[in-house]
Amino acid sequence: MSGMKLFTKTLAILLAVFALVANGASLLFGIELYNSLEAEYRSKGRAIARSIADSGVDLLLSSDVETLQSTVDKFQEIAGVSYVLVQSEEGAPVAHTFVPEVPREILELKQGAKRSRVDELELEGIGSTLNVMVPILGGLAGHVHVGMDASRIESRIWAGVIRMQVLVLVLLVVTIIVAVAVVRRISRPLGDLTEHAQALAEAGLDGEGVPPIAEGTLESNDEIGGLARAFVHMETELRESAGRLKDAAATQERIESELRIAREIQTGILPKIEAALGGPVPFEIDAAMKPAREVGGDFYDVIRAGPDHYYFAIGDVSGKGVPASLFMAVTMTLLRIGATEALDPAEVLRRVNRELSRDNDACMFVTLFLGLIEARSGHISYANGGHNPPYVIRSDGTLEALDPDGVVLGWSEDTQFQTRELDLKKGDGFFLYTDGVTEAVDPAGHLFSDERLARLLEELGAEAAQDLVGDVLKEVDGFAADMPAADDVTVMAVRYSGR
Amino acid sequence: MQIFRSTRVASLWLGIACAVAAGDAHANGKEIVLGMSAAFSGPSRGVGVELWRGAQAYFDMLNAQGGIEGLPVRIRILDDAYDPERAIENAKELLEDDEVDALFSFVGTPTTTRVLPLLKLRDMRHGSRTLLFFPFTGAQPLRHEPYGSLVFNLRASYRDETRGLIENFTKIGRRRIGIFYQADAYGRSGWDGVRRAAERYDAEVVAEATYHRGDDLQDDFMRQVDILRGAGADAVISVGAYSACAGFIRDARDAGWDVPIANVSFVGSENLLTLLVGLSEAGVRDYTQNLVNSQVVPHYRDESLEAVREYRAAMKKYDPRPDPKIVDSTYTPLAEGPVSFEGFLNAKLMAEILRRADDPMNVPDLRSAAVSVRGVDLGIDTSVSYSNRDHNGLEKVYFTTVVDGRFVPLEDWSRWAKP
Repeated sequence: MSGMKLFTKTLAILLAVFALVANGASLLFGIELYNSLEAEYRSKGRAIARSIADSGVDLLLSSDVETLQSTVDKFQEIAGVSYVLVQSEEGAPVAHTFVPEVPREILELKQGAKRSRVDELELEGIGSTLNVMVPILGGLAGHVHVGMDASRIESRIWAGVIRMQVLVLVLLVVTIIVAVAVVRRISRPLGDLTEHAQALAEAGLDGEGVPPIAEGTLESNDEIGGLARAFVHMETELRESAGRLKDAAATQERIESELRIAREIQTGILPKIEAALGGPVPFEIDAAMKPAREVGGDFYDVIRAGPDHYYFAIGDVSGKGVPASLFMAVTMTLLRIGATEALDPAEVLRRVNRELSRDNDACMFVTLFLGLIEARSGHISYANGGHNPPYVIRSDGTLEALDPDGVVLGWSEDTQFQTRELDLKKGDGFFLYTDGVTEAVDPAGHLFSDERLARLLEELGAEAAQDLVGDVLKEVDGFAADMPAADDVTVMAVRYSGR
Repeated sequence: MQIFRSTRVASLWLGIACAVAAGDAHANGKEIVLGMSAAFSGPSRGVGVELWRGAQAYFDMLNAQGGIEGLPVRIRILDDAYDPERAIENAKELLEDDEVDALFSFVGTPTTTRVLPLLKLRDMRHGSRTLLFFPFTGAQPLRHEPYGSLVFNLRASYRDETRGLIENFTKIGRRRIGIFYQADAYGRSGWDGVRRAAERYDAEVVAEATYHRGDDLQDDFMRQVDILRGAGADAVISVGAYSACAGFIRDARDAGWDVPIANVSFVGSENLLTLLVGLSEAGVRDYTQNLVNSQVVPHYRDESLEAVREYRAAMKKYDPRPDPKIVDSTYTPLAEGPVSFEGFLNAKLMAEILRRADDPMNVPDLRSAAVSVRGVDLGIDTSVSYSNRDHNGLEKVYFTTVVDGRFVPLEDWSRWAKP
């Protein structure tokens, strides 16, 4: 019913304007009427006074005041004449119609030979009066005064204004009736539409009991019809859109559920380190992977290659998400197949690469660092397939970065890898990471950077492998703050405690 | 019973029923009809009724004795309520009525002065000079040209009355005159008379106050009293009708103002007195003190006069009552009074003129008969004479005052002598 309210407001404003105009017109009409009536009264008064003055000459000269009085009385009977006074040349009243006496104000008027003179007087007991004075024989035989009742003008004006106001009121009432009828006609479809929309809002798009929009409204070819049709169109669109949204949400949910499962599977692929070691060893090793999405392309592995040899590996598949995780799974599988005995790490990488590169239609790559530690001696042989070079943390706190080396796996079947050697002494540590660490971004857009990592490792150098992994991840987390991780983050730390 | 008897007597003598159409009677030359328009309703109705009663009493008596050479005289009356417009309408009706032979005893100045042009017009257009006999007004226009030749007056004029009053007031030292008058031609006539007399007797009109014709006892006249009293008037001439004059006297006396107040004959002194006596009985004050009334006829109880004896006998015998259709029944007629006495005298002179006329239904004959009246005594110790130039019968003014609730002739004015 807001449509009705809108029209009521408009109507109220229109009525106010109408009243203003009507009253203004009445005022103008009153003023006009006053002016014309006053002019009429003046000329009427003048005509009466002059005719008395003309007949009064004979009467005054024949000294018959009774007849003069009769004449004066006759003129007083004319509507609008409130009194008549005939004065002698000395100003003394000769005949008049006043009761009980001639007002002083009139006797005090200055007499003159002028053709006529009109004064507005306020007389006690008579009221406001136009006193018209004309001379008899140029003033030689006296003067005639005729009082025209000005209050009669006012009452006639009021009567006129009241009549006009009544007319205006009648017009107003007719206008209101017509306006209300028109407003009803116009606002009924609007009201229908509003009711429909409100019911829709309460019940929802699929809700029951929403009144339909009347056929007539929809078929009407005015603005309201257009609005109704637009409304119905919008409603249909909304319904379809809502349907699509629902489907999309279902798909999303299914995908999310699948990804959850994939994540569990991926987590399951990553080794339980303690179990992988298969017993006590003279070194600590720990690792953690935080995928940027549900599933990631980073991985690490620890594989027992013999009674005294253990492989450890860290890798990073190009890309992220499901494709990367699948490729990671393939890589890890190939790695585990290839690293069953204590082979030269470069030979292992060569085998894995050959398998990955064959039929690599998706053109996916993986960086892979593979180390083989001899538990008894702390000797490490390793091969790097394009992965970030790890750090050696000596027990005295010095940090040694390995040189970058090798080419990513999956690029070419013929890629060759080099096995290199190093020795860990008691207390020395070995730190491996993926680029998710150094390329973490803070809210201001800065990279975590190699330098920051190096400084961090110098600080934390003496820590146990487990603590090192935890602290580095914590530091990276803190650095990135609320920024969404751009890449998977994986770290692995080894601490040699033998010899 | 008296009404019944008088009607029966009249019908016996005439041998015709009252209901017989008057026109037929006239056509057969069997009736003389006089047309009279007067106030038979309204505040001045007492004057009209009493004037008619006096005249009718005389004609009843006359008709009982055989009328004018066998022709009875009838007055056809119309009520004008003292309203000039109605008086004109009535006059037109009477003039157009062929059976009306003359107009008789019209009452009032504003009414009669408006009728005069009508008479003049008929005279000029048709040469049928319908005459107006003995109007009950003392105004001047009836007494000179252009209308004077159409009117025969019996009574003295207001000028005569006011002159007599002013003369007597100045004699006792009352020279500051206030005028209370009706705002119309009648009041103006008296006002004019007072001013002329004041000039003549070296008195001064110190103030004047008017009232509306038609005002009566219910109205308030305090403002008029204040105006006249405030100007220091030591005598008041009142030119009005009895209801208003009684109201004015009441308000003046209630205000503690006891100057002599003089009323002219038109007031109808008995009607005025009746109201004042009524007021005195109802109130605490005697409103009949310090009053003077000028009269144009001798005192109606002065039995030394033949006319008074005739009048009183006729009034007692015939006691005419007007048609209740014309006069409203709330008015109680007076047994006697100056107005009915004047009506009686009017009728008596009318009968004399009718008798003198060769053909009383012929206007020129009536006129000749009227101007032949010379030294005729109506029985009031004063003679009446008319001539071609002078249509004014009496000039004498009589003064009365109230003693013990009765108007009596006033001989000695010295009781109001200014100290």
